[in-house]
Amino acid sequence: MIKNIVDYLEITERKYGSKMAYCDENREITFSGLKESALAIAGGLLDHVRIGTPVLVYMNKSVEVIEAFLGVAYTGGFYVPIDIQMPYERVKLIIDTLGAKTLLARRGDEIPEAVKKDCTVFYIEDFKARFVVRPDEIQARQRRSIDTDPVYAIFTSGSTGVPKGVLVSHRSVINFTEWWCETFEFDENEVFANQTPFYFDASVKDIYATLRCGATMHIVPKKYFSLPKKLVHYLNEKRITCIDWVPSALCMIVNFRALDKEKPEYLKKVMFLGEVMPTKQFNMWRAALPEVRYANLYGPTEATGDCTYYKIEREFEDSEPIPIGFACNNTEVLLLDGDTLVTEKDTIGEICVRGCSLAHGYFNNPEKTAEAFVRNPLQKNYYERIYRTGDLGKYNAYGEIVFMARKDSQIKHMGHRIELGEIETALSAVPGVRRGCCLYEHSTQKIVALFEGDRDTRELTEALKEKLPGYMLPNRFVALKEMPINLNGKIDRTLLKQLYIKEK
Amino acid sequence: MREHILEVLTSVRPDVDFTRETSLIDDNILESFDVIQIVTSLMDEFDVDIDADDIEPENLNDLDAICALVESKLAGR
Repeated sequence: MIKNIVDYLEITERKYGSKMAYCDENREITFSGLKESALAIAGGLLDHVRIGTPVLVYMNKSVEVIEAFLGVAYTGGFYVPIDIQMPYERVKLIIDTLGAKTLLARRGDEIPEAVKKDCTVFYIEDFKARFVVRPDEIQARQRRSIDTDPVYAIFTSGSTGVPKGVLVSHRSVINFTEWWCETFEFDENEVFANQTPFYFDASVKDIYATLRCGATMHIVPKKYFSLPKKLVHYLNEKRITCIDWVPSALCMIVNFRALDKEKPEYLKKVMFLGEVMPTKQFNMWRAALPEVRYANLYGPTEATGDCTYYKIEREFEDSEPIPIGFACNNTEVLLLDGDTLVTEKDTIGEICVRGCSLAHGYFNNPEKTAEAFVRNPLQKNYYERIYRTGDLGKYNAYGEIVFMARKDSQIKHMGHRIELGEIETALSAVPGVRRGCCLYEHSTQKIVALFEGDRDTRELTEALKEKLPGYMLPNRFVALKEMPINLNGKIDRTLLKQLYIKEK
Repeated sequence: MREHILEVLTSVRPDVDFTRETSLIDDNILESFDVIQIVTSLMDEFDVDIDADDIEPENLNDLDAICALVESKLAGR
């Protein structure tokens, strides 16, 4: 039976062992090669990892990361992908939350000295060179593990300033992968071009669909996402058939008319995820490539992969939003107004999810887990969990779900999920800043920081860089003599928005 | 105009010193989506048309190249 993602590797390797599995700029690996490396890594890690314990994977995006993921999965532990560009202070918060002791790295990637004090660092090159195969011990470990054991934790922005580790089981990943492969008819001929970073849950999709089907996945070099012509050329060079990208990447291609110069000839499926795809740019894609099948996918990290999907068939006006559609098979989506189910069209409710796609919760954070993973108010007779996404949606006239807005101050900025509260916490902690507030200007896609204090933009940016990843740095700073306060004694965000935010 | 362009660049990436860097693209100093935001902002601010052919490393590696790109677009309008 399939209970661990390495079962996919075992089955696919028997069928397609010599087939190319994953490639990056420098390297490619077959399924047999991948199994060999993963077992060597597992052999090296086995004495340092138990079932349900974390291993940080601290590497630049590459084929090696996938070797590391599967190596960790063989040991029964779970992996935690870390963005190598993340400032140390934030990595430290993650290490402390996890109580992590073990870190996997690549020779050549730079590791901050402080991290080496927190964790024992292992280099996968050493494991692969030594190649200690311990088949019996690995098998025994696998025999003891169950499908609800965690496979990974992915950290997302937290409103209080501490990132939250979403802990996901093998069961959830397998459930998602089976659904995705069936719904979009993936097989061994599929060629994926992966865009999403490996520390995002969206990359789980390309990685495990490839493993499940014996397909091929190319890791697109990051710089191509700023060079539209080269990017389209790359799709042809690698004969890419399916892309599942954030809308920013897809918009960039059509906004600069890259499809006028060269058309992706092999592309059959285009999907978008992570944030709202603007209909205007979608229509530009469709006009240029009418034969391609398009789908809009929606789902938070807490519900593993996607929880709704929409295959786009009918025509859309530029002003009409593309629905997020319908619940994925073996997942139910409920729109709840408080504890009441919304069924009538055009009534707004919170998007809530039920099913084995749900994560275990946030690692070592019972309070935040209890806020979002709650008992299903519609099921009084037995205990069932649902996840409250914090996203608001409604049914349109076709009975399709349409995403409306967020309930709180979470934003999507260039495909990244960010809690403005996390930036505010960091901003307010800068010496010389008395009070800070962050807003998002949707029309220009800029994070605006307003603060009381005597610091200039450069000083603030330098200070924030120590704590926040680059994509969370405010694009504009506004110094205020005094922060406006509303009747409840809180920062008056409504007034600040009126004064400082330009919306169309 | 140089000042104006610098302002646009800095608003996208306040942490980068655009007066000093000479390999913005080749050294991956700019994140992929930064480049797109920068080009889009330049198009809006200067009312010029920049398309895929122009978005090449040699036009975007430093402040001088970016100024030259905008100037050539203004001239050709």
